Amino acid sequence: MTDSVGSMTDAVGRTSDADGHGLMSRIADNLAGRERVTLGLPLAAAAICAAVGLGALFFNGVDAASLPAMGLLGACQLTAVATTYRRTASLDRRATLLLVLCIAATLVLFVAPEWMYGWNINGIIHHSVLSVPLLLLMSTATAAHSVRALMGASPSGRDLSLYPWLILPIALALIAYGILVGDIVASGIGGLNLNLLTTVGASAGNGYVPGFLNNILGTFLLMFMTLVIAFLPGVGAGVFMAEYPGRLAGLIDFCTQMLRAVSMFVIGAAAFGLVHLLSSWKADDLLSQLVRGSYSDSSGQTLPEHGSFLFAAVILGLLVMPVIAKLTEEGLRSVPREIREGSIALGATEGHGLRRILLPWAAPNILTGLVLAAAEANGSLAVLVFLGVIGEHGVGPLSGVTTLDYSIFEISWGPMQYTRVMEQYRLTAALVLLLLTMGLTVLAMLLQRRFATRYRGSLTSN
Amino acid sequence: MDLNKSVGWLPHRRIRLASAARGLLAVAFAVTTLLGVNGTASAASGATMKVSPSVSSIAGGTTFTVDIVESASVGTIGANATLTFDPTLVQVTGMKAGPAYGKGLSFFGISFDGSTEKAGAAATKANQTGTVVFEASGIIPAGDATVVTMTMEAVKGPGGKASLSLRAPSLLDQDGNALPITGTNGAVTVAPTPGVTAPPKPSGLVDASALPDSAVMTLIPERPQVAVGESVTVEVKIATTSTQIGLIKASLAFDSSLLQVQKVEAGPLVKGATLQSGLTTIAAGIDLANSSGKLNEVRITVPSGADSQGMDGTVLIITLKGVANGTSTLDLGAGLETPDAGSIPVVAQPSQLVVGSGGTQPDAGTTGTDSNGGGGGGADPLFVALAAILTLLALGDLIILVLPRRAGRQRLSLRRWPFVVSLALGLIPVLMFAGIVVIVVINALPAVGDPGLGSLLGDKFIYQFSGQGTQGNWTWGLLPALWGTVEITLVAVLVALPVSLAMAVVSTEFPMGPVGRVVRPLVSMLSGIPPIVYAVSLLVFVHLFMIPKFAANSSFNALKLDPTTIGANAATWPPSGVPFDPGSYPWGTTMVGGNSVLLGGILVALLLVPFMTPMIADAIRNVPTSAREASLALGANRAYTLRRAILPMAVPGMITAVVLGTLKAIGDIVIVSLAVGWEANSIPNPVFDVLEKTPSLAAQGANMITPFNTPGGGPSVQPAASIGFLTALLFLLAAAAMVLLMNYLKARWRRRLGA
Repeated sequence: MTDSVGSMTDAVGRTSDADGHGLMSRIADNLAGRERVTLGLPLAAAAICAAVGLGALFFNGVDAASLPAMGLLGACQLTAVATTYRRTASLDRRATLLLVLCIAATLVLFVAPEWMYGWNINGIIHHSVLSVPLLLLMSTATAAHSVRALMGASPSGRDLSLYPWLILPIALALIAYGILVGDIVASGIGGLNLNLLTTVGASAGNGYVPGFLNNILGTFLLMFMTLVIAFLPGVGAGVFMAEYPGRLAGLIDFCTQMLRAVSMFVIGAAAFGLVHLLSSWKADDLLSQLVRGSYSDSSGQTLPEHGSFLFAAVILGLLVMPVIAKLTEEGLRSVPREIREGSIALGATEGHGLRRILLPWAAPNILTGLVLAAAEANGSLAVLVFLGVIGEHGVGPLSGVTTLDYSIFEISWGPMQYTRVMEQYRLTAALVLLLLTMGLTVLAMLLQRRFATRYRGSLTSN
Repeated sequence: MDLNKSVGWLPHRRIRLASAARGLLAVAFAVTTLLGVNGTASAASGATMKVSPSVSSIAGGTTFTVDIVESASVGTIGANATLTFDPTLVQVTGMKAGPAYGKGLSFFGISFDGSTEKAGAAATKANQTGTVVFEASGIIPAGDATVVTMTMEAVKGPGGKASLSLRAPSLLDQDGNALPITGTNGAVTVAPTPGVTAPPKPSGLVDASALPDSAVMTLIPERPQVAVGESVTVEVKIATTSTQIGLIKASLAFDSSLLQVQKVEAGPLVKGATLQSGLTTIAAGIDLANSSGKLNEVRITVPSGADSQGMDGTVLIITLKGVANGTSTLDLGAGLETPDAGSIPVVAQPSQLVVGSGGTQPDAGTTGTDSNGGGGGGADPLFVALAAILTLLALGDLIILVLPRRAGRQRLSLRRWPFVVSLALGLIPVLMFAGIVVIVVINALPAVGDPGLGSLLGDKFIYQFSGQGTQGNWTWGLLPALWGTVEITLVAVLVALPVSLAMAVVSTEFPMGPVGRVVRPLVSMLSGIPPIVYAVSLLVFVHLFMIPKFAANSSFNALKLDPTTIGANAATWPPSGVPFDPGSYPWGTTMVGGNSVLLGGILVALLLVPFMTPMIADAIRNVPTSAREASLALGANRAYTLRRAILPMAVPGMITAVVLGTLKAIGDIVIVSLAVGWEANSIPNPVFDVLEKTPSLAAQGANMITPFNTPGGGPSVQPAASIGFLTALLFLLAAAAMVLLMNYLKARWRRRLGA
């Protein structure tokens, strides 16, 4: 019943929002001055609690304030419950529940360490491990309910009361990503210099030369080759799935789904298995060169690598095809019926229609697919773990595959001597990789926007 | 499209296609079978290497020849062995490669080109140690072939029976695989020469006086063979007439997959000398040696005032421990310096050590697919490749058989090129997926036989990753890693799902002003970050959260973190120094793999968020506007509309996101390996569960297939590799089950929404 009443006032709420004096005037309309303060108290306490919780996340010292903050929240909630009871002569069920939870949380925070000392596993979990989630969750819940109470359970109040629940996870995630990116930038920037980016790294003998030139070139080459290899099969599979549904399309659909689902571990393992089937073949054998790659040492002897760029690109192509196929399929399915029928009515053959009408319409989707595919290829270290080499012997379709992320992997895990010497360049390589991928993503987003207006715009306007 | 009926000529063409495919199939089958039979035959055949002296008894002072003859039923490309003899009875005077091997021969690693100078050097060395180490390479057809012809001279003296024994013979077939081989020793009886009683030279020791002004360093293993898990000492001996020696340098190269250095100590000759490994300590040198297979230059500073009459004796004792079957060469690198840093010429002599059963086991180069010896004959690459092609062809045939059912609806004509072209292209991923399945299955099969499926269900896992297991007590229980997979996946998905849902909602339905405008491009930028970037920034999370929150007292044990290491890290992080001193870095690789499931799960969650968010956002965006409008028009607020109208219709898309996200978390190698580890030894203590180091199956399996700390991901040891592939196969099956379940759930949910 309250729902229907609430929704009746929704329209009013919206118009007043649009007029620009929405929130405060609505609160003023709903509540008397004293109630405004008492119902607003939990909101303020929740803000304090959230601040303490976030502080305690980083500084254990702040944790000392967690018990008072939780107590304050409980007290404010109590006044709010009391105010509502005086106003309506009935207990608000949600508010009461929150109050109980607040009290319980306070008790837990008060007792928990002692409880743990009592069980003699002192210090297993630091106090703030317990208090941070309690504070954050309780403050979010209270803030959400307090907004609802202040807005008088109106529809816009309910919409607003969703906000804290959305803000909490997003804020935490953004903090985490911020720390991550910040750390890499701060730690990696020290080692960054032009020399590092234009030198070919080496690991031979005792001469460890830090340098990421071949790794950077390799990243681009691998991405490019992967896209070239995966483009046609991906689009073809997408077209078939969208245009000729049936058992065969179902088979193709299942296989592409599986290729995406098995992710890199299985595909990488299979690639490794294939390479090692050829491991006893001679280095100058054609198939061996195509799959394993090779290089010439100083005396001109051809030696095998572990996996060539070409082979790695084919393998990564497998990972990437499903993405392109799925997006092509989606693009073709989104072609408006009128356009499809119009082209048939005007006598376009199937081939003509596909080439001139359908594929251009799906072009932005295909481009999105390519962008996602490039990102996927870029981040597919797990495959290169099975195939990669450090990359001192050059970059080319038949030389050993190497990328920036493989170099980071090698620095983290390689032979100990190499690892020790290269340790300080690990975060620099990560920074370069980060800049590179972000640059590519931005470029791709711009391109995609352009494509969308170009093709769809012209077709819909004609 | 539905307007057109089928065309009459079509079935004929289809039948033609089908029969052509089946014809190809038959040919491929025949070829494969033939090759398969051939392969099995070749691998089952044995080979022999025989020492045949030209005479059986001989008088002192006369020369004779000794042929070493190989005999194999298949062609070979390489032979090597060590011939030992008693230098007090017979002496080598010349060596020559057999006619088939020509110049592709080396003794003691010295390439033997037929020149008398090199032959002389090789003979001198042989006579000093009583051993000839030879390696020959050349393309030799099946049958008998002489590898080496040696000219020997019987020594005038008391005489006796000189045995010429062959140690560790080995023959490589033309694919480079070692053939099972038996060696036959030879013997020559030397008749006593009346009146001559030459003092016998001690076997294995160097006659230093023969080499004035130079020195010889030899490597003498305590015994030629060592069992796996057993230790053996190897003495480095020196013999020199030079009076002034200030510094002795000795390095040792060995196969670190077979042997590990345990101890390096000074020999009795230089008691009290200071030892250094390169520029660092001996302990660091041993660590390095065990990972790289080369014990760097041990520098022995000879105390001044030592023996001034030349040196003859043991200067270094190295204790080695066998870890796997095989034959490892021990290469000695040597250098001598006078006290004023002038160099003294020195000849260093290598040796070799057989570990366990030795030569019959194929060593480095063995792939994960080789079933060692016995009946199987290994995996002939050609055979497997053709088997794969065969399977693909069979699949193609199957598809063509399916086609006629569609005759009523499909028509093929030249004007319908899109059908043909897109089918041909669309089948590429299908065939390649089939290929992947075939390869994984082939590689996984040996695990069913070797450790057996029963032993994979144990709750203990011991392998040689961290040097704690030797082959004798390897244990393959996969349950700990399975538990790790469950935990990491749960943590990751439970953290990532609410966050991605919130982000998706904010970037579509609840823009929340500027937040929504920021979140959408931000997510697409984050989605490009490769996993390794999350993995390398692991340390910052360790320092910010893991240590402050969990590091009190006992939890350090729970985390398996070493406080001193971490403290040192924190103090010097980030590394700033440009001039770099390897000795000053406290952590090396020790930080890697020392962390908890909780941290690993959260890092994987950070990877999943940008992956799942766009999928959920797309699902929300694809909900028909009519549903949204109807709900709003009926007076529902936006929150209610989202909860009751939009999210239920987006559930199929969300199922996809969750399933693919879960599979990504299960299959993640990079983050889990760095943040958690790659070796789940036992099921963790329930109190510290998520704080323990229990990596997932994928990380462990990948490392079993290719050991991460080997450059280029070298081949692994059986049965570890096939168990790794079995893990991959398990994952493949799990993925198939989850994809099928996902499709079923989606269809069901759609039906429910439609009803």
